Amino acid sequence: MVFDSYAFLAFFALVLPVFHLLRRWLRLQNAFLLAASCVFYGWWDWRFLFLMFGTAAVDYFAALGMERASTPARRKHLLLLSLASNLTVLFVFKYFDFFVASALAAGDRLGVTLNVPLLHVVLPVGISFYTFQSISYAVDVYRREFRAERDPIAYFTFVCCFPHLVAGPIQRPSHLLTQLKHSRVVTRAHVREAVWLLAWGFFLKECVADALAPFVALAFREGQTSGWWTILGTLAFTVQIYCDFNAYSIIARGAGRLLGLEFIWNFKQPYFSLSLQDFWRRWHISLSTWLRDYLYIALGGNRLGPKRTYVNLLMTMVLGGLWHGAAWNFVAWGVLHGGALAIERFAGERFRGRSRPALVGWATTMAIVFVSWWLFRCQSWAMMVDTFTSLRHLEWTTDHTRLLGAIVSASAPVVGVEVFQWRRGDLLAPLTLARPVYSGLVAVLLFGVYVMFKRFDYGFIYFQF
Amino acid sequence: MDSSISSSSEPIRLRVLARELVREAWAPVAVAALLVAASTALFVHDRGEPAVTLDDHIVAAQRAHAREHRPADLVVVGDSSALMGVDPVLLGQRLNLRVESYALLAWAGPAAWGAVAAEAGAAGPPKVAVLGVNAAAVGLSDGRYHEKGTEHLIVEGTRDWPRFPWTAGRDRTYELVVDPLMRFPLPGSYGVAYGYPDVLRARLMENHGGLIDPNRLAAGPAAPVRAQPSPAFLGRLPRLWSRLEGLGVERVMVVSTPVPAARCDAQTEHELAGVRAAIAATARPGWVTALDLPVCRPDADFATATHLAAPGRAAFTVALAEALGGVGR
Repeated sequence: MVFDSYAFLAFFALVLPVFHLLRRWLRLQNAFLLAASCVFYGWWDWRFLFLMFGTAAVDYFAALGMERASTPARRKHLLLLSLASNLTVLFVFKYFDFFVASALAAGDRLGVTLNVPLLHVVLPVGISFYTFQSISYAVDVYRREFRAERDPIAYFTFVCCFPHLVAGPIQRPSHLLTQLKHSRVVTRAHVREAVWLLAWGFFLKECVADALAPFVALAFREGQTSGWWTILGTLAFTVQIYCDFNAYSIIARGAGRLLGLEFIWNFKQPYFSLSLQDFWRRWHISLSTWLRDYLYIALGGNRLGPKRTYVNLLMTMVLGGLWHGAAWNFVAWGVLHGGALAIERFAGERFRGRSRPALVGWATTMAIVFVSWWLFRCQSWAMMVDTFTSLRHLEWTTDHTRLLGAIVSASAPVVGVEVFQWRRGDLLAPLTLARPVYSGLVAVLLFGVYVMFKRFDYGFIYFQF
Repeated sequence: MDSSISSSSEPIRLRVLARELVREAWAPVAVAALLVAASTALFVHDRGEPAVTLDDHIVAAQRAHAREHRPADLVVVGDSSALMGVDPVLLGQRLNLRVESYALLAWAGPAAWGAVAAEAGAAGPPKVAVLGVNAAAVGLSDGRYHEKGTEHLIVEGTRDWPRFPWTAGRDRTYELVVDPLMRFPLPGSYGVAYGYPDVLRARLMENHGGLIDPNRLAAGPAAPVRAQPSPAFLGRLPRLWSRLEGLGVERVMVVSTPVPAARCDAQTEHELAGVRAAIAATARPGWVTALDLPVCRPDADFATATHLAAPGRAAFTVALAEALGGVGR
């Protein structure tokens, strides 16, 4: 099920009252949330519920075993079992065909005939999100940062809780599982926040991200020969991917608020970043902090000297790129971000004490992010070559004026709201507006959603990851 | 603002949550509802031609084409399989005739097909008409023809378009506010192939009413096509015939547009032959002739299950030209 569907609206309208009717029975409420989450996920393909529950069950028992284990070696073995279970599933469903196809292609070039069959399996929706969430649980228990959860209902609800299940934010056990163990608290402020987030989230998805999607589809195609289409199409994609993913994250947060759960902010105005490091503190925060805590630091972080730090940054970002999808453009995306982060770090150390003008920092950061989104969106080698070589043809036509107008029109409300949030230093700043102004703003957002709802019907980009 | 409606130890009551939701959302929802009501009231009587879907753009383009009143010796009418399946330029070259296609969409219906051709033919009446239909188009029910109200308006010859109360505000706001602001390209692969609606319109004009479906048929097994003409379809044909007769068309040739080989068997061929005979039987004897071209074509020739792709379209047009022979000269 997807948020921007009539099915979800009906589903949530049904789940919310029943969920709160069960307020006196916490375990029953969790069980109901778990059942609702199964319906939400199974709406796409119920068979993959077994896969999700299978890996989650391994983590559940492994964590209990780690807590009871008498020796560090046994704890480690149980952690490895948990990691192996999650990574095997991820590898088989997401990466096997990619690596085999790449090996076959390399073999062909070298004149070596390999005979390995491809699996051609369907990629389960949200697999990267829920496996990473499960891994964080197992590692936290192993590190003794979190106690193994004995209540299977609470644990499985943590893994499967529907608002964040298929596209995050990736929750940490210390944040969400703790909430699931206590009665839900909803305040007036939470309800107010939820109303704003749901209205703003649906507006971002229907009126901005999906409105730009047809232009992006035109720009990113094989045989595309206009340089300005490539440049403006990448700009449109820069706005589209942010609004698409941010929309999902804040709708999830809004829905969670009404259920008495708080999900973390996944985006904090990333396009206002003045450095790439700053960008990664603001973009897909649940993934960037996951990569930092479970990968970068595990690799040694910055504790092993400058050179190793640069290598760690690069490796972390390449794996972060591969997390998005099994394709070489995501690897290239990771190399660009990792390399640029390493250079930024080197420059920061080399020129310590010298400040960089904010505008230069912002422009440099955005230039790197912009190029990285071009890599990210190119779905084939041919598309990459065609769109790159199109840059030789930079004749401005009326189509480009139309496209620029569309980008400006679609982005204007986003820029307006984000500048306001930035100035107030508060992501919920619109809630501080005078009541009539706020009501008018939300009404316009709702009317925009009414006009644009399902008009183009592009799926959430991050569903494919 | 932050006053708690639930103490930290006590879960929220449903009634309290409902009250708070209403309290927080009533004003914006009420204003949004007013905007919806106002836009509906404002636009429900607006009769401008819709420009929301690809179908809308195709109908609008073909009607604009008809209003150019181009002289023609042969016209193509029918559903979208004829629109995408017959190349009027190539057919004209092969037959050495002036050919225009006024084929529309299945749900516009035979009466509307005839009305558009009649409007186009005012300047130069064609001698021959080719009616191209596919199996799905001949089986439509009355409800499908009435669904958009397009048939009624085309047949009545008005340029006014119906607006349905439940979508008038939404669609017209989109057409008048959002679309001019954003200037959206066409959806999906049509966007990739044609870009913007005005380009599609220009291409259709250039190609004498023909269009190319830019999709590719996905490979895979499928059930064989079955064809049974519906009473709703057959009942509308006399209105097509009367329009064509009014134009002075001397002969009408009926052809079944091709079916992908994976969905085509002997019974498909047999049933489509029956459809052509049934169509011819609704006209005065001898005036309508069924053309028995091979129906099954390789899957690779197709853009969709009913539309030919560019190479298949060319091959089918050549076959059609050969079957038509010296007709119209």
